[in-house]
Amino acid sequence: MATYKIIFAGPVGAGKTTAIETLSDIATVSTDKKATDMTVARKPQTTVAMDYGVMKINDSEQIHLYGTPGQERFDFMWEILVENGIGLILLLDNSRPTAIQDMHFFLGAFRKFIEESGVAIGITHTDTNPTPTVNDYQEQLKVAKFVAPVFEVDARSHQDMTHLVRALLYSIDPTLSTESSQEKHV
Amino acid sequence: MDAASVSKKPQSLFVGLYNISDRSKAAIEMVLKSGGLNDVNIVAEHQAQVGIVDIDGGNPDEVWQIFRNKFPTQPAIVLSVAQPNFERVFWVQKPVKPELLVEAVMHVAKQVRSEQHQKAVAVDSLQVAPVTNAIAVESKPGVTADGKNRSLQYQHGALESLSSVANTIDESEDAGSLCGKLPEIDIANIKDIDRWFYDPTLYLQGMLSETIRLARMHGKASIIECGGYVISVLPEGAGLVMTTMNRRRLRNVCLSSLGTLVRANVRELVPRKRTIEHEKLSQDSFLWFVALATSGGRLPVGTDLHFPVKLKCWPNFSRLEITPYAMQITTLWLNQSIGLLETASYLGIPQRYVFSFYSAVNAIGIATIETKALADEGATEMPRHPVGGLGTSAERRGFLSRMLAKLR
Repeated sequence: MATYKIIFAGPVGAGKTTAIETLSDIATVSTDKKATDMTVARKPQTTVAMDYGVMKINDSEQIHLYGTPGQERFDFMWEILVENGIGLILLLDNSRPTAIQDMHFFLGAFRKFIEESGVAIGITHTDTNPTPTVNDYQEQLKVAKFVAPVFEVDARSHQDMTHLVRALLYSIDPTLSTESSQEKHV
Repeated sequence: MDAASVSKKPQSLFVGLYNISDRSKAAIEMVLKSGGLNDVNIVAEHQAQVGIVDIDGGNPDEVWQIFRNKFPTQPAIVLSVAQPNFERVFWVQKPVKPELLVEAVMHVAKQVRSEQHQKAVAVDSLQVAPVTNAIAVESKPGVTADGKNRSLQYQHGALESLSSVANTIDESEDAGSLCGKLPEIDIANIKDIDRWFYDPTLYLQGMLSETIRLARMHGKASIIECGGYVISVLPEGAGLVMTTMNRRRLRNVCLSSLGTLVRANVRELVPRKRTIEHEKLSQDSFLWFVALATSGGRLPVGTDLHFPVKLKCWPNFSRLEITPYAMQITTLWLNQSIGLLETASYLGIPQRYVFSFYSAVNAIGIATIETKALADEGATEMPRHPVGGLGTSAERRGFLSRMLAKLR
């Protein structure tokens, strides 16, 4: 069985753990521990190794979902986790004052992997923090010479996360279509 | 149902449904067929001889006025909770009983067929059933309004109240339904090319686009009044919109030209009178929907079918109506410049989906279209086969396709 995986990255509190729980067809494995550093001001628990979930495609195929720890002191895990990955879902927390800088940071940290695969960016917490806007992120992507989907998402919403993953797949291969038929005609 | 495609039986009756949801439309059609009215056909508005109008769910007088402005002399059946004070209509009280709706249609059909056999006269001069108020179609078992006994052949069990019948039908307004049903353009044999184009300035879309542009430029809030409804355009934050309309109403208003709408104008919103009562939507999301609803598979007038289109960025799809093949068109237009007809041909998809998508991305300002000068310089290229996944193997592509299927 071929093993494929999607990596979820982003700063602490962006919603990576929640997103994997939303998409996974199995109970997710989480390595959350009580936060001991400044992270505790954002959330009481934080991922210290990785989150893991699975999306089952059919009886014989599945895709693994790996969530990276958001704190930079765990960044050594990032290089390990992206191995054999097909693409990156980057979640950014719009409530953080450094949201745009976060995007640049993570795009830089995963640049090699992104160039070999693809990335889709989800902006969380836009309901309470409407700015920066998606257009602002797109302008910054242009500066960084990236073209990527940028969607407002709620990590708890299966529909939102599904749209993001679909966009990632089309970014990886624009010629994709469903096996049975193309999207239904109305 | 296209009236032109129905065999031209002399007794066929073409009925248009106004201000009625797609779910209820299907229920009405089912009821009429179940009631033995097989020669009654539900058609598009402009093809109808008779109208069935639901005046509830907004300002009834405004809804009626919109209908009458469009169709001044069309015989009509009005559906509402309260009896209206309109002239020369039949009224069926809600909740609608199927047998009464059938009865009403039979009354109107008799009137229409009677008129067809007379010399052409103005409707107002007809002596048949002169009324000042709407005639209520009431339950008179076994007896029609003209006094003749008639056994209506209902299939017992197939008849339920319209609301319960409608509940059995999936109401979800598929984004694809916004793309209409226009046929493909045959470049070798183009007739009536104008039917594939529309002028946004003649519709709410144009008024809304301009209002948003001015709101962003000057930082002032504005109100659009149209068809008895209100749209507030607010410049704060990311740019927001509030409206008194639900999606169904908004779609109906989008399809009506400004000239037929009651009170279509824009005025400044005075801050002290602003009341935050309705859900705030992003301007781009709202304008996207309005453009799709207005387009219906058509293109803004002036669009060249062949000049290459490119996208500046991905649309924010999680907050937008995703029309069929939207993501595929997006990735194609991000990777290369390609004409609209060529896009449909390359992806093997109906042109109306490409046209609708273009109308929407153009409305929110993320589409660019190359000018003729650039095209002449050879800036356009034949579509390159995208290097899928930068070297995706066939096995991997197959897996990704299956994953995509699971995500639907």
